[in-house]
Amino acid sequence: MLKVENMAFSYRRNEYLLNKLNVEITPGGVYGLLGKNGSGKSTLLYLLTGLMKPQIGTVTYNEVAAFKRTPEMLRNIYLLPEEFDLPEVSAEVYVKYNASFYPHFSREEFNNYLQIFELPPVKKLSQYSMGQKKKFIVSFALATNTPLLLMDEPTNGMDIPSKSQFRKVIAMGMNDNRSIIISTHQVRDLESMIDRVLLLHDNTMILNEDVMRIAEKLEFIRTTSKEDLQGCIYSTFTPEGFVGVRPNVDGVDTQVDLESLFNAVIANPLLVQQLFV
Amino acid sequence: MENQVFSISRFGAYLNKYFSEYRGLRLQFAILSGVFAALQFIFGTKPDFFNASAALFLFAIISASSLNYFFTPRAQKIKFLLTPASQFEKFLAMVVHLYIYIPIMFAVALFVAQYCATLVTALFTLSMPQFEAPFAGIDVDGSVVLLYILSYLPAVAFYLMGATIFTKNSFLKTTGLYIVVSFAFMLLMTIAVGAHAIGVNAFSEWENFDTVNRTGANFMIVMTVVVTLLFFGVSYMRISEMEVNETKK
Repeated sequence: MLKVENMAFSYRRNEYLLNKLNVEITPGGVYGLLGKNGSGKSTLLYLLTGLMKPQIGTVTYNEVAAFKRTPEMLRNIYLLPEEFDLPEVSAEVYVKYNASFYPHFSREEFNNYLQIFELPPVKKLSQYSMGQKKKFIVSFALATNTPLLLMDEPTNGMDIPSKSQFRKVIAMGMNDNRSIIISTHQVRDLESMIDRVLLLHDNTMILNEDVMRIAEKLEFIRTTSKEDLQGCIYSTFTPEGFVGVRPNVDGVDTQVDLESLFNAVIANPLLVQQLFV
Repeated sequence: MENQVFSISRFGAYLNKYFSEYRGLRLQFAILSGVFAALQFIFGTKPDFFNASAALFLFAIISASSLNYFFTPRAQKIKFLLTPASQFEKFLAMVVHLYIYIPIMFAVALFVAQYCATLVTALFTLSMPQFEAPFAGIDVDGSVVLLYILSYLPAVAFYLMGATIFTKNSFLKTTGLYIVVSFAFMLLMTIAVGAHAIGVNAFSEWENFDTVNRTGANFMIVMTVVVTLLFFGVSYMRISEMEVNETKK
């Protein structure tokens, strides 16, 4: 569906923000795009949606350059940017004039998502608070049923109950014909939601792995005893005890802890990459 | 497979979205009607062709500049670029706005203003309203209409191009550029209409359209169309090649 081949991008001459990137997004998965602030997550989303042009390499959607921004591509991709603007119209008018561009838009699903988010009806969308606007646009984005949905920091501005509502609507909106890429630095918000991890660090994608494979290769430890952390490539102390990550040599089945994984990869990029070769 | 450059149904859907979401259209209409009505009520004079056309000209170039609304801030630009219509359709919607919607809205505003002013005057003088024919006072001078259109076309296209290039302070920056470019253009036209020395006024040549230099005048018409198309071309290219962050090197 979406293919990035040997792509490089820079804002400054000869100083690549993203370099030698190869990614393929196929239908049927939730991708978690992780990275520190300034690692290029939003830029990558812009490149994937054709909002920017890479200096080197290609980004193609169904073998057409994404930067061409053809109507065919645009109706199959929906980007929910971190900053967005809703016009001063009613929800009804917004749906009337925007949904027609998306052939698989479902009004029923849209109403369901609004209900889950407990959004009160308003005369104009501008009357919503920032968090409520985000819920509205997430509902609309999911209801478009585009094969590719990209979300940039979708949980920013959402309160704690909204984050669990968010997980619920993502689960409802997901199907085998669709891929959702969620970019965030709040890794906890993605816990138990994603199928694949894309991790940007040091100008490249240092991890692009299935969550199942990560669980096969790495063991995530939660313990109260420091002795249990032997062999860990990353460990830290939290109020609940110690957490650590180590190569899964015994084939132990543990749940992937995204925050620990992120820190482990950042701390030992080469070691982790070797594990996944 | 649907045409990726232009499709009537897609363009129709885009135009609907464009006019439903474009901020300030109703406000612009209300302000225009209000100002014209107030002028007629206070001064008792109806706008003549020169005043009305000058006002339309000014209003159109300001509107063309204000189309940078689609490119600033970034959220707005993303929405514009990712709306599932072709870049050509997005550009065409702007052309429709500037060359069809605005003149019509302007005429309707004048019409509404004329009757509002008559009604308000009657209310204040406690007399029966004296309704006149629509656009009374605007005596269209046929010989100037073509010249007006020939000015309107490239000027509005130029400000549209300015809006796509200068996404901030578009009007001021485009006006600066306009002064430079129009000086060069007038110089070229002056020569083209057969002036024998720099400084001959092209407008005076235009008054002698039939007798003096029909070829030169025709050349001016062709040049105006060519220049307008050139400005359209640049605007379209800018929209097609536009990136969300344009700071890369």
